[in-house]
Amino acid sequence: MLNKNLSRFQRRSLALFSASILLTALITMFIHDYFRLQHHSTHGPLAWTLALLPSLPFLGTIVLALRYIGRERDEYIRAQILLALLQGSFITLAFTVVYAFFENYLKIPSAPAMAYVDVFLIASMIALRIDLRSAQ
Amino acid sequence: MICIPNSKAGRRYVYRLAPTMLVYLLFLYIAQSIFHHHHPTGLLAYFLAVLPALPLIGSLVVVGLYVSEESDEFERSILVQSMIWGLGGALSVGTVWGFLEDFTNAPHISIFYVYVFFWIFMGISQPFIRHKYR
Repeated sequence: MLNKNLSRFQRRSLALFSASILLTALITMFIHDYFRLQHHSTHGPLAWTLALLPSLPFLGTIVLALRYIGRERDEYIRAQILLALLQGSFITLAFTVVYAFFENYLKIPSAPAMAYVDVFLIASMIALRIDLRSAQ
Repeated sequence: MICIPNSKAGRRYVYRLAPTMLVYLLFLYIAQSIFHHHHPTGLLAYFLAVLPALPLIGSLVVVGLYVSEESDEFERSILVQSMIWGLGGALSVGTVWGFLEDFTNAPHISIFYVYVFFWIFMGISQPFIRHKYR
């Protein structure tokens, strides 16, 4: 899947980006299992700290993305990635708004805690693929 | 009016966003009153539930149009960065609260607040991003 034309910087950024997404997923699974095994008995500051943990690597992903955009010398690639991130953001926000009204009026169950993050990452990746393909 | 931006794209953004928000209020009122008085079901219920979301999605399109029309690259870059920070902040708050809600019996907060927090974090991040370039 890795393109051999990637520069060293792009390769390193991609590795860091993948690592932070993987870390987000692993911590999420760990916290999910921890709370489940504790039978929802964790309260107070410990519960807040544990709930905060999965969002930290996700914020790290955002920092990495912005750092990459700031340092990428290839203007074309930078513009494509920015466009994909914006499209991913818009799709995520549209999803949350529609889901919120469905939840409110049609009483459907609440979305899982990390659902929005998944929507954002998947939508951004698909958008980048489509943008790069249509620009070829 | 002081709040009208100087650039052409900025003015167009305000003139597009204002009616979108008015339409949102109108659609919200229509959906709310029909659900309250008539309890619709089936396709009509889905249609009415999605109705107030349409202008909010429209507001995102308005922002997208502003990004593509703004000729000042610096302003555009600030806006795009602040939007990404806005989404990062909103999704982080949503995730933290989602876990608290799922496992510690914290009160349920609507997913709609992700949209609200997006605008709040976007506004908060802008001065910090500007400060970085000084």
